[in-house]
Amino acid sequence: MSTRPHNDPSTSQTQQHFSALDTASFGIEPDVRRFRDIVKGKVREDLKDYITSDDIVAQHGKDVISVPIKEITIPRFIFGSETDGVGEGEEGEGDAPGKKGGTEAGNHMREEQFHIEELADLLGENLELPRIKPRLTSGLEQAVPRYEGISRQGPPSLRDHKRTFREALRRTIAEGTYDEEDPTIVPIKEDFRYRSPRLKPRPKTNAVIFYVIDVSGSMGDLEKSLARNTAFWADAWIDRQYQGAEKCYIIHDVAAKVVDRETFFTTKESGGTIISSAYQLAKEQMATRFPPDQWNIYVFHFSDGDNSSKEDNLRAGELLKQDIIPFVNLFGYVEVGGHSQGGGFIRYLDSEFGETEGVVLTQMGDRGDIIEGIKDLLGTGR
Amino acid sequence: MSSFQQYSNSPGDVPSLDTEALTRHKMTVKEFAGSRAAQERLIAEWKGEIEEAVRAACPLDFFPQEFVVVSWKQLQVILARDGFPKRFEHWSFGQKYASQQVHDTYGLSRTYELVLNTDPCVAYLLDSNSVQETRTVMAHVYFHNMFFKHNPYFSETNRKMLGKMGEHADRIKKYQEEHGPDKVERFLDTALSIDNLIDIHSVALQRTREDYAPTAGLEVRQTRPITPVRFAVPDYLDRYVNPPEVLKAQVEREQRERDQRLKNNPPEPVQDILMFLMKHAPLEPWQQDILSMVRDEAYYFAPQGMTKIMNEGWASYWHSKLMTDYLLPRYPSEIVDYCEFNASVLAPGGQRINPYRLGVRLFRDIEERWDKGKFGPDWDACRDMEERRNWDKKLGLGGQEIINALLTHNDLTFIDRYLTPEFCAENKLHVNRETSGGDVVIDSEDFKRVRSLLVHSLTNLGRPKLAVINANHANRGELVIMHSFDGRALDLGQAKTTCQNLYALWTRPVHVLSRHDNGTSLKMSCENGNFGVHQVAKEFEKYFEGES
Repeated sequence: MSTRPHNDPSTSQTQQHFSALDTASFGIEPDVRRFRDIVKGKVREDLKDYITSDDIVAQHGKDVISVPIKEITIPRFIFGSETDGVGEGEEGEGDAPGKKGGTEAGNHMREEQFHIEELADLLGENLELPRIKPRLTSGLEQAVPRYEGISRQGPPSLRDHKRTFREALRRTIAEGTYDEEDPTIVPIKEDFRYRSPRLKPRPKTNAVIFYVIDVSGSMGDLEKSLARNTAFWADAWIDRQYQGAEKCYIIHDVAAKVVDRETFFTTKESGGTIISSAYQLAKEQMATRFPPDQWNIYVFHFSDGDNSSKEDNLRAGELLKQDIIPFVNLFGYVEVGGHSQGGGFIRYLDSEFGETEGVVLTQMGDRGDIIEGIKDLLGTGR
Repeated sequence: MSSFQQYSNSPGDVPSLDTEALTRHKMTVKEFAGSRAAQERLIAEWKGEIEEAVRAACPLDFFPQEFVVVSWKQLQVILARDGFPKRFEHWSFGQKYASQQVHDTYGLSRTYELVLNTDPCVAYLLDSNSVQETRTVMAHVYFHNMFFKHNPYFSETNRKMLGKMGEHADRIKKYQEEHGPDKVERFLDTALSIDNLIDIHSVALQRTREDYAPTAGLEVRQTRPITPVRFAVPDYLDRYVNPPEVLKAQVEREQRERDQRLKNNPPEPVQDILMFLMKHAPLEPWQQDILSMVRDEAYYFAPQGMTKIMNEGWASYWHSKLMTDYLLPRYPSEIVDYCEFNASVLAPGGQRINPYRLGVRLFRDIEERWDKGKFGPDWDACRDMEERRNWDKKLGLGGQEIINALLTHNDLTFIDRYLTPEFCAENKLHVNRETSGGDVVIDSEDFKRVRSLLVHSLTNLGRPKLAVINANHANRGELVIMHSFDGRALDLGQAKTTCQNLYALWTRPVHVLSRHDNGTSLKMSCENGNFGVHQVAKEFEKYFEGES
């Protein structure tokens, strides 16, 4: 604290105590960091539960995600749940003053804020996903700040300790106060050096994710939610790797159209399924909006595999072979739902493209399969 | 007030309303004064004014008072560290800080005051509190100061804790450098997990000097083999100079002494389990030191927990008096805001007791009863409601009695001594019960139940009472800890981890004896790292016998 004139010697002691500290934050950062690490560790441990539950997925579109975690407490000998307590106030005997705040002791939940990128990194660590190697990098450039410069001013968090020490050492030697016996060096204000940002151009890579979903009558709520969870984490991971990716949502039954995300996950039609219509539309979109020589392209298709006819299987396969698979980083087909004995489009794809690079075929019967599915889809490093 | 009347009495001469003057006290200290130096000058000015009023109002003296103006961010850090700007590094402070930020964002809590039990007494003032709030808080602070100085439960606390906490931080930092941060963190986690295992009844006693010294009187439990004393002589002489029988006898004697020590250890239950472990657990010196620091801090904070109702009540009682009698007449435009502020601080807690409100009302009740002589055998014997209502012996002892209360009691004894059925009824104190559906309903307004529950919740700081009763169970060096059951069972989930932590310190099996909600006895044991809850085996039954 700054100086206040006072004659009491003990006062100056308190003042000294305060002025010796980093008064901006009293150095709380290491404690907060350590706590965050512990929280992160908990989330990493339980990530699989979060991937399959709706708590996090429901917050799609936000940069900062609230993750509910069990309150971390230092265990002590305490009393178990107590149902009685003394209160005060107006109500008469037998009235209900309301719900008790919180839940039982030891069972408290707390929301911790995570940036979506942090969660993507945790996902990568947890599922051991390889980093994506972009198929192409465009000539476009973007400016990215890099901490490469040095300045005399800056926030404490950017302090360069080595340079600060060197400056202080240089000064003490120049002043002649350096003592080899006791080489303690105390930096003064002039010695401090801070890292400073410089904008540096970096090649920009474009990416687009096509989500294709079958909205025919046989696609129920479970199937939708499998697709939704998978899409959330695929978004997080690919966005993280490309510093953001465009999305293109396509729904189809017998015909296909481009829709927004909301419609994508909520539309329910009753018709049949013609898969080739969706691939045809994807091909057109690639031609007009996302030319493959400028974009890294991902296509994820969710369907119950109940295609209307064998002929359409062939038509769809032809489109994939000629116009899609050669031009995309990854084509992922997810057959959702446990009742896909009918069409079994995945069997057809497997016979045609089972060995083709850049093609992933996976099945999700229920929520328990989401993790493996995501691992299959994103585990190629493409 | 008088100034308002002046205006209304002369209708012909309506002064132009100085709105700025009327709202100036709503500005924050920061807006009002500007720079930190100007804020401090302003505080110093108010300080003189308030101190004068405090001296005039109350006969007790106080420690020299110091105010430190802080920003909201600084206060959050200080709050996370229980009032101290510098404390040892531990993630739990980071956790508290993080939750405060959440609370702040949602506007869930506002902290008006933070006072330290130190000499000089340090209090923090928030630069974003309004001018009027700040003056009220300052008045309030002086009476906490006075409470710390005169209440007997604080008499043995370290008044230089500001420096002491910093010292602890430095020492722990040093251990982090020597032994690695992970090892130190693990040990701190363990130590903090048992920081409530102290003997709060000894708070007001002068604990022996030996107890204060961090390493004095330590006899580490000997796990080392006994090596007899040998005279250094050439090999061929050894058989004669150090005869094997003599050496054997030496070892046996030493072993007997050790056994005796362990058997007698402890002669009576030890509630200060932290101290017991410091002395007898096989710890390294740095671990002993950390345990001693954790213990010192626990003893420092304990009296504040023991006097929450009284301390807040005392300070609120006096700040109201001070503001209405001395300070508000000087700042009449602040009266409405003061009342609003006061009302929010003293609002009924509903499902829980608001200690400010309960305390201040009890002090006022005591004042009235002793002023009017509503105590003693005559009063107790009087059954005539009319007579009781109009009872006034004009004794005027109220002022003295509240000071007596301050000089004698902690919350527990205070409630026990002064809570009356009339007070309970008037303040609508009641017993809440949580139904199975999670609703809270009023179960009873019966005075005896309210008082007994209140006393229960204040006993031993509302913590379970545990004591070491045997440190050498079955002559195997096993530790037996007894929980004095009072109708409330332990949280088994937390007890499990705490037990494991005790085992980590003691390194031999640890048994905690307690009871289930229904009263049947149980034994929690941690042996070789495995935890289990068992029925009480025969060999442990004897420990329950002494219990009533």
